[in-house]
Formats: sequence, structure tokens, C-alpha cells
Amino acid sequence: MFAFSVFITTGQIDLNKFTTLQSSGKIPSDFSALTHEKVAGDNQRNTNLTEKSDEEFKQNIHYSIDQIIHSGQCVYGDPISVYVDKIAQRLLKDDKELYSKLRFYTLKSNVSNAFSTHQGIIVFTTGLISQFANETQLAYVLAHEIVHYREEHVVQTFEWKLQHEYNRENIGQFNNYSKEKEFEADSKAVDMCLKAGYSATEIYNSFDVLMFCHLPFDEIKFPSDYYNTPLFFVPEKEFTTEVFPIKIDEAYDDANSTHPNVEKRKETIRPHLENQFGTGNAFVGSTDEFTTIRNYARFESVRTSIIDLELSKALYQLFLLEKEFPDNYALTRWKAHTWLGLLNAKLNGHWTDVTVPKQKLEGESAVLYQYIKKLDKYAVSSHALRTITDALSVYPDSEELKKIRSSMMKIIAASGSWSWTKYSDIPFEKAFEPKVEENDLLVSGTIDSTSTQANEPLTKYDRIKGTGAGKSTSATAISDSSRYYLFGISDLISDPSFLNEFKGYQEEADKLSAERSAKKKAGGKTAKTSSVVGERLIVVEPSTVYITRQNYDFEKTDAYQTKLVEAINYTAEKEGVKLFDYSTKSLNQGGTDVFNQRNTMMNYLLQYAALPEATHFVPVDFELIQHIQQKCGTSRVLFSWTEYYTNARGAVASVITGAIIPPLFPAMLLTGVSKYKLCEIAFIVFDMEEGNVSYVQSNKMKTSGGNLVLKSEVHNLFNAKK
Amino acid sequence: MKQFISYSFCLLFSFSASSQGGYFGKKTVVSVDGSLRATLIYQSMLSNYRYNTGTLTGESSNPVIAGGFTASLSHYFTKNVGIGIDFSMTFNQLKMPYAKQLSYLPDYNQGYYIDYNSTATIEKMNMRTYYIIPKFEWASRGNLPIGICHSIGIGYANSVLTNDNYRILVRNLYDNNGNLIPSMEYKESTSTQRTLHGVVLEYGVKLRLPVTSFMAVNVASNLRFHMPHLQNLTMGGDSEYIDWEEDVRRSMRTSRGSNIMDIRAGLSFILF
Repeated sequence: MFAFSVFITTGQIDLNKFTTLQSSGKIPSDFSALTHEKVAGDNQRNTNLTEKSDEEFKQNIHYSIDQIIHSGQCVYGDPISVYVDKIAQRLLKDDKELYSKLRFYTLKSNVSNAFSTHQGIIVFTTGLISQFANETQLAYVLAHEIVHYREEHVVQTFEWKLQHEYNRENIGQFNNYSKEKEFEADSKAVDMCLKAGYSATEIYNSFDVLMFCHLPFDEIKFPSDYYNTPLFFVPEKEFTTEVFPIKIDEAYDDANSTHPNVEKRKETIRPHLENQFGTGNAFVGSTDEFTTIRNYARFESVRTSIIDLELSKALYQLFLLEKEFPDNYALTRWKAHTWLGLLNAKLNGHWTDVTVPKQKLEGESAVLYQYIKKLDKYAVSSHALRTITDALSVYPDSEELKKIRSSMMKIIAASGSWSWTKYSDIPFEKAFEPKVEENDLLVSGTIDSTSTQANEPLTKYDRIKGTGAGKSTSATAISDSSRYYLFGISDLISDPSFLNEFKGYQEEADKLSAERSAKKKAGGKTAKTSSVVGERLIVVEPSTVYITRQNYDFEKTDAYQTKLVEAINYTAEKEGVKLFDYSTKSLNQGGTDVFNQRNTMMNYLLQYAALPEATHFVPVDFELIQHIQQKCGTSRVLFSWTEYYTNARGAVASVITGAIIPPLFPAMLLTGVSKYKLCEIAFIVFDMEEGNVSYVQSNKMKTSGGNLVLKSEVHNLFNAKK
Repeated sequence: MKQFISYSFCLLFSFSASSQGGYFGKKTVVSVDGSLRATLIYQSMLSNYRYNTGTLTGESSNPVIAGGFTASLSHYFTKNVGIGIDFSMTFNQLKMPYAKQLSYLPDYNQGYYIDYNSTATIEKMNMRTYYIIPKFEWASRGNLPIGICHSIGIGYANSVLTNDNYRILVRNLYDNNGNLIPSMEYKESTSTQRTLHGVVLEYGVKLRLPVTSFMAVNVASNLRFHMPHLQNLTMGGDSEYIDWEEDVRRSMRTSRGSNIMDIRAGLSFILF
């Protein structure tokens, strides 16, 4: 029940129980208000703009940030946001007024980025935080964003676009203007950081983060004995010896970019730092605190990689974190999730979606990426079975691991004729005993702890630039077996209870397949008796877009979103269905708890959607989802999606046709009217217990989709049977 | 936007997709519409045809509008496809040729003759047409039974004249002695040929705008093509002999077939 109550009294998270970063504290109005309410309440007049332009500007800025804020990935009051806030206090200790105008939030994304808005919102991604080597680097990026806000660069850029009638022709001019603003922010941020006592050298090195943030958060050689255990052995020759150098080009072509290249940026700040090198500290605050925060970001990055289906990357990140956290439950769970995802992709023909193409390989992670890419289905199954079985043996009470194991068995059972006879019931070391030198055999422990210690003082950026050399132990190559993985689950193969259990899964899969075939033959006319929504239903924030003449109409978007929520509430009351509302409107009442739960469900959807073949799906936020299910007493969640847009061209074409052929004019006029407004209303009901979509209702219609249409669609949903 | 992409993907690979359809789950509709039919084509095709307004002063007029009622029953199988049947009745007026084109007017043998100054107008003839048209209905990106709906049908049309005897007023005719007779009235009967059968092909567009969960306002327009259509249109006058009954039938066909377009408005009741 308290599985996700991972905050301990000091505000720290027990990483063993890490699930995801959660918001805390009072919900800010940035998160609870709808876009049109924000625009209406924004009284700050930008005097350089005309009234009309000012209105357009406000609409743009609020809409843009709301796309992020309501995405389910953005959190407030979490340890990272609180930490960034603390650094901001340090930077602005002499400018309390400016500090009071700022709000800090965290975005769960592996894209390394930070940005500020005209409203005073500063957002850091977990991907960026995970890349910093020290507090100074974070402080410098933060100072850069604060300068953007203080100098009102957002509104100035908008004004420039208006004055120069921004278009394709003058995009180069715009990029130069934007670069000027970046140089200004870079320079003034240096002064702010130096004043706060940060290290001049590390300020300068901050651009290394920018250069190498596309790589994982550390660069450690992947040891070829990483997967070796007493029961599993991977010969060293399976790992490529090819080197994938990291491209270092600070003077890259930035002509088409709004940001200058790193070389120019370094040149710009160098005069400000010239006499300051050697001064200041990399850490003004606590080093431990920084490291803790960065660990949260790194843990979150693994979770994000799994959701985004970057599974090879997730494995490398797990390897990096396991060095510091060798027996961590969260990492064990995620590793099981990752191998389950890889197995699913391999057996369902979506392998290229989860592996990294050769042209993108760079750095140390390439060794692992290459290894994963060439695995065949038996090798992936062997790895998955080994990893998940071993994880469950360490945490036998974990419901999540049990669920993952069950899903794994179902996926294998459903994959067609599966023969365990391919696998050996004796371990690798026995099978190849005569050919393996004593020293080549299993290395006890997967990672050499001495190499870890040797590498510890070096940062990722030191290693990239060759100021340090990563070391790792490796077993000598065993040259006579490329089918090593067939020996990796010998304990399971020789266990009759495992084989019997699998037989049970196979029978179940066959039965399910037969049922599906029968249903298909019957043309879907089999008796449907149970309601798809049930007696209780969780409703997540409907997604609505209203586009008028190719422009986003935020006011109508909010209005139609509210209409849909009302239609759902109205129908639920009429049909006697108890609703658990997780829409933005409900946040004012439900507060942060509801916000966190809403995010969890939105992430559930994201992870599900990323899977090409979402069978036997287990969410990465399993425990959080379980909690929501228990709280609401249902596993059914409704996601809804409405899109409205106008089709003026189609409408005019119909009317012109009518004008050319007069007898058709009234008919064409009606056709034109109906074509002018189009909408799409879609409902997806997930069954979180089953891990699949239990019902989809989607209609694209030539109608404006007003109240009655919405209510009709919701009525049909609530009365649908399965 | 990411959320939208997610939803799109869910819809793409979801194999459990199904939809009950219908408006509040209801798929059967009864509609009642009033229709108006402008007679522009009829007027342009027979510009020198007229009818008298029923008085002996010789005032004549043209039919301007025609109208009627339609009741239809439709059932929709999905949000995009359905079938229906139309029962409709329309009323319109016929106009007949002037004197010099009427070969059956009183002639020399009867003691009268007409020349180029003579005119004759025939009393307004009221015609009523019944239609029964089964039809196939569809809508691309539809939300049937509401919203836009196209239909195509083929059915039966039956036109009848509502009265039997019609007054004919001839002016400026002469007796055999050459004396001008300012006007003369007599009657012709249509009792032997009052019904015109035919096949009708119909294409229609109907827009149903919902006002409650069981009722919608309709706006529609239909095109009807009648068969047989405009036969013997140029015949008459001195070229060929056409008797009274033939001329009436010709006018009935012309009237029914020439005004192909109507506009309609009414209510739909979405029943079950």
C-alpha cells in the first residue's frame, strides 16, 4: 500500500524503492488552470506590442507551455525542482524580486534540455540533470535561462518576427538574431555564476554537456563478462572489438540553428572568465546533495528509456547505475522490464524498433548495442528467462516480477511452435569444459570493483576527451561456441515443473487463439454481454485539439474539452457508473495526489503506445498502477481524444461545383456546410489488469461535434458490450 | 501532441475495435419533410405555355412553385451506411399551349376559325404525384443517423390530375362569316387519361441537425429524374395532329420531369 511512499523525512528518496519522480506540495495554478483561463488572467501588458499582437503572444506562450505541463511528464515540488530552486536562490541572493517571479519544474524526458518561458517558468529535463558532472554546470545552465527571462528574450524574439515578417526568406537573419540572444544569456550567466562563487573552469566546461548529451550519462567500457553468472556465460568474442569514436567537433555548422555552436559560445564567454580561471568552486552547496539529485535523474532516465522503447539504451544505463547500486530493487525490476520488452519485440517481429542502427553507434555503449542487435530469438529468450528468473529468486515476493515472468511465459507460449529441446539441460561450462581454459571460465561477480574505484574521480567528459582511460575486466574469448545462450537456462530446462508450467501457458495460448479464430469466423457476432466500462471507470484527462483555419484555437479547445468531460459525467450519472475523474478540472479539488495519479496513467498510455505489439503488457509503473486500481476499485481506464478542425477548401469546392451545375446547388451547399467542420471523437478503454485495450470507439465525422454529438458518442461507449 | 500520437497508435494496432454506432444507440429514423420545388426549368422550357387563372377575362399566369410532403423511414447499419424508403406526394400545376398550337380547338367545320390573332388559355390543371422510392443511404465520415447523408434510389411515380373537366377560353376567333367573336368558352374532359405512371431515379442530400436525443431538424435537397421523360416536346401546332388527351399527358410529363430539383425541411424522429 505504501509502495510509492518513497519520500523519507529528509526529502530524499529511497532509491531501492524508486518508482518515478512525483510532484509534492500544493498544486500550482500553472498545472491546475486551463489555457484560456491563463490567457484571460494574464494582465501583464507587453508595451512594445500592439494589443492584438500582445493577445496573440499570450496565447502562444501559454499554449506552448501547457502542452508540456499537461503532458503527464512534468512535475512540481519534486526533489529535482526543489534543488534547482535552491540553486536559483543562490544565484539570485541579491535579487529577491527576480527570484520571486520564477517557478521551477522538472520534465521527465531523456532529451537534454532546459528552457525558460516569458511567464517565469524554468524547466529542466531529467535527461539534462543526469548529464551534469557538478553543481556549477547545473547552475550555469540555470543562470542562462534566468537571463533569458530577465532580459525578456521571448517577447523580443516574438517582436522581431512581427517586425521582419518572419518567413523562409529571412530565417537566416532570425537565426543570427536568436544567436545574439544566446550570446547575451551566456555572457550574463557567467557573471551571475561567478558572483555566486561557482568555478570558472566548470562554467567553461559546461559546454561539454551540450556537446555530449546525446550519449548516455556516462562513458564506461562495457565489460564482456557483464552477463556472466554461475549459470549463464557469454563468450568475449560475442562483443565487438570495433571502436566507435565519439565525434568531437565544436565548430559544427550552426547556420541553420537558432543556437551558436559550442566553439563560438566558448569564445564568447572566455573574455568574461579570462582572469577568473582557478577561482570559485565546482560545488557551492553539498556534493552529496547534487549527487543524490543526479541519481534521481539517472534513475528516472532508465524508466524513461523503457517507456520510450529505447531498450538497448536502458540496458546500458542499468549497467552504469548497477556499478553504484549493485543490489537495487528498482534497477532489478527495470532490467526485467527491459528484457521483457526486448523479448516481445523479437518474437513479434519489431526488433528494429528497439535496437540501435550501426550509423548511430558512438562511444562505449556501442559494444552493448551491437551485442543486443545480433541476438536471435533463442538468445533473447535465454537472456530474458535468465534475468527475470534470477530477479524473482532474489525478490520472490515481488508481485511486479511475478507479473513480468507470467507475461514472459505467455509471450513465448503465444509465439507459435516453441521447442525447449533446442536448449541444453547442462550448463555451458560443463558442455565446453575441455575447451575452456581455467582462467577463461566465469569471473565471479559481474563487474570488477577495482576498475570502478579507479574510474570514480573521472567524469564522463574526462573520459571522452581522453584524460582518463576506463578499465574493465574481461574473460578470455571462448572460440568454439556461438550458441552459448542455449546453455544459459539449463536449470530451467532440467526442471520438469518449469516445463509443465510452460505447457499450461501454451494450452492457454492455443485456447485463446482458437477463441479468436472462432470470433473472427463469426464476424464478431458472438454474444456480447458485459459492459465495456463496468460499474466503475477511471477517466483520464481528455485530449482535445480545436483547429480553426489551420490555427490552434486554445479557447475552443478548452471549451470542447470541458464539454466532453461534462458529457462523460452526465452519462455516467444517468447510467449509474461511478467515475474517478482525473481531468485538469478535477485537480483543483483532488490536488497533488490526483495529479500524480493522472500522470501515472498518462505514462501508462505512453508506454503502451510505444510498443508495436502490446501483448501481455506490464507497465513500468506497476506498483503505482496497482495502487490506483485498489483505490478506485476498477482496472478500467478511459482515455479520450477529440479533434476538431475546419476544411474551408473542401466546403468552397462543393459550393463552386453547385454554382457551376445550378440544379446541384442546394445539395452542394449542404455538402459544403457539412464538410466545413470535421471532428474525430475517440475513446479507448484500457483494462490495466489484463494489460490490454479492451475497447476502442473512434469516429471521424463531418459535424461540428457539439454537445449532443458528444453525449451520443459517450452514450454509445457506456452502452457498448463486449 | 505526444499524447495524440499515443492515442493514434493505440487506435492503429488495437484489434478489439468495435462500435455500437447510432445516435444515442438508435439507428432507425422516421422523417417528415415539406418540400418546395422551383419551376424555373419548366418555365424556361415552355415559355409560351400558360394557363388561365380561372376567370373569363383571359388573365393568364405561369406556375411559380410546386410543393409537397415526404415521409421516410430509414435504418442505418453503421455510421456510414443504411437503407430507407421515401413516401412522398407533390402538387403542381400544368400549363397548356396557346391557341395557335392547339389543333383541337374549334375549327372551320364547326363554324369557327382561328388566325394568328387568336389566343386560347386553358384552366389551371392541378396535378398530384405520388412516389415510393426505396433508397440506399451513405455518408463518408458519417455519423448516421445524424449529420450529412447522401442517398440514391429508384422508385415508382404516379401522377394524377385532381379534376376532370377544364374550361378553355378562346379569344379573337372568327365565325365562318368573318365576324370577330371576342371570346368563347367550352370544356374538355380528361376522364379517359388522368393517370401517368413512371419510374423515378433520385439522388438526395440530407443534413440532420440534432436538437434533442430523439429529434433532429432536416434540411435536404433532392434531384429526381423521371422516365419516360420529355417526349414529343416539339410536336404540336400545324406539324402533327395531337389530340387533347395527348397534349395533357405531354404537359403532365413535361411538368413532372422538367423541374428536377427540390429543397426540403422537416423533422426527424430517431426512434430505436
